[in-house]
Amino acid sequence: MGQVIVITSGKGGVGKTTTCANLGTALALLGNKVVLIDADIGLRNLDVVLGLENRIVYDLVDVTSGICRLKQALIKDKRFNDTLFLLPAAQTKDKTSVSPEQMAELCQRLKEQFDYILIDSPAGIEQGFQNAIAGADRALIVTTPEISAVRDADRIIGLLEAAEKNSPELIINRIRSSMVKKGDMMDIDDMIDILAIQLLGVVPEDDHIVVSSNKGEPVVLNPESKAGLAYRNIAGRIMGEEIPLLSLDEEESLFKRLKRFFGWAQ
Amino acid sequence: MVKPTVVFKGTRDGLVIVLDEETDFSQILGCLEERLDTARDFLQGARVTVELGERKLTLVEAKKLVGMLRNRRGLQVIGFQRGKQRVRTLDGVIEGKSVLNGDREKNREPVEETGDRVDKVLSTDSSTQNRQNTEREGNTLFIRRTLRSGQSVNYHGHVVIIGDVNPGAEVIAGGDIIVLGALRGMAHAGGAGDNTAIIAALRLQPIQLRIADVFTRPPDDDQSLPAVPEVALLRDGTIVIDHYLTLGERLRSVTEGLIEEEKEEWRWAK
Repeated sequence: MGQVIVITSGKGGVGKTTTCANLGTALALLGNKVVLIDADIGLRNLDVVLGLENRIVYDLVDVTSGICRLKQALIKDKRFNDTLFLLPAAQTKDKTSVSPEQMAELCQRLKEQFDYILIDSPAGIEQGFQNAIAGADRALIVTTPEISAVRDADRIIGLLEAAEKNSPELIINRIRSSMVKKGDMMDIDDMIDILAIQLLGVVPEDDHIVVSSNKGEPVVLNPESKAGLAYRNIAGRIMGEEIPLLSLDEEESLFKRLKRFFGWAQ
Repeated sequence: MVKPTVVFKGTRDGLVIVLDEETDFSQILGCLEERLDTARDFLQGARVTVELGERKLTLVEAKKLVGMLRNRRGLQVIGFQRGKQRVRTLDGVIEGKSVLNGDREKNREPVEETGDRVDKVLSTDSSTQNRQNTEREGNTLFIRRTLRSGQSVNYHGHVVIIGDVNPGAEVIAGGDIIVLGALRGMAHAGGAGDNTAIIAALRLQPIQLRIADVFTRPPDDDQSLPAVPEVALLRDGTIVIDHYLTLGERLRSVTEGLIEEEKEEWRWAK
C-alpha cells in the first residue's frame, strides 16, 4: 500500500512544482514506483518541468469524469524504467471540475499500484487546495525565507490541522547562506520558531534549477547541483532514512582547507 | 406574510435580536428558544444586543431573557436598544432599566445587585475599578494549541492560550488575554469596553494590541523586542507595557495609592 503525499505552500512561486518534480524523480531513483499528480488544473506546469508536455493525451479531469481509464492518462517517464509516472492536469478546465471526493477516490486507487503518490497542490486555499489535500496521508509544506511565504505556510498548517491532516513537515527552499549570515534573510531557526513543525529539509538557492526546469530535466539528475543533493537527501528522509542536514556553507577551496589543516586559519 | 416574532441580524458589533413589538412575552421566549435550538453551535458565545422597538420589558422579563440566552447557547447580552437609546449590560447584569420600559424619568434608581461579583469586576465603573484590579473572576476559555494565521478566537470572558498566537491570528476577549507562549498576532482584551483588562504573554511581540477602545502597535524602529514575559495594560488612556514579574506589586501599589504610577519601561505609539 502506497503513501499519498501532498506538496503545498499557500503562497505561489515558492517552488512547489520544482520540489514535486525533484522529489518524485529522486524517489524513483531510489527504486520506488512513483506517480506525480498535477492538481493545478488550469495552470499546469509539472509536465513542463519534467519535460513530458508533448506526451499528454488525457488528463486528471478526463479520468475523474470517466472519459478515459486511469491507465490511459498516466504518462510514463522514459528516463526511468517503469518507475516514474505523471498524471497531468487539464489546462482548459478549472479547479471546480474535480471534487475532493473524486480526488480521495483516485488516490485510493493509485495507492494500490504505487509506493509514493506525490500531489502538486496549486497556490491558494480554495477548492484547488482542498482537492489536493483530500486524499493525502502526509503533507509537505514548502516555504522560502520570506515573511509572506512563512505567513502563508502558517495559514496552510492551520487549515491542514482543521482538515485533520496532522503533523505536516517543512521544506525550506531557496535559502542563501551568505544572506542569512549577514542577517539579511530569515534564518532556519526563525522559521521553525514560528511554524513549529518538523523540518524535513533545506534546499539552497541554486542557478541549476532554472536551467534544468527550462530543459525539462529535474535537477536531482545533475550530480553537480547542491539543490539536487538536497532533494536527494529529502527523498531519503521521506523513506525514513536518517540523513543529516546539508551544510549550507559555500564550498571551501582546497587552499583554505589546507590552511586549516596546517592550523593557519580558524 | 406573517411578521416573524424574532429576527436575528448580524452587525459589525455582534448579533442583534429584534423582538416583535406586539407578540406576548412568553410567546417570544418560546420562539427564541426554538430558534436557538435550530441554530446550534454557530451562535455559541456570541455577543448580542436586543432590539426592543416599542415593546416595554419589565426587569423580571429582561433578566429572564438574559438568563435564557446565556444558558441555552452562552450568548452574552451586551445591551438593550430602543431606537437610538441604549442600555449596556455587562455579563448579563442590567445596569439601568430605563430603556426597558421606556420611562426614563421615574426609574433612575439602580437595579439591585444579582450578587455575582464577576459582573462588578467586569464593570467599567471607575469607582469599583481600582479596588478590583487584583482579583478577577469570570468565564475563561483555555486553548491548548497554537493559533495560526487566519484563525481567530472571540470569547466574552477571559482567554488563556497555551501555545503561540502567530502573525495573522487574532484573539478577542471580553476580559483578559494570557498567552503562555509568543503573542505575535493581534490581541484585543476588554472587547466590550472593559478598560481594566490586561494582555500578558511570555513573549509579547504583537502586530497590534487593543484594550477596550484603545489600540497600539509596537514601535517601528525597535526590532529587538525583549524576550521576557510582559504585560500590556491601559494607563491614562494609553497602552503601556510592563515587565510581568513586577506587575502584581505595581497593581497593588496603585490600588493603595502608594506610588504615583509613572515608571513604565517604555511607551508604545498611541
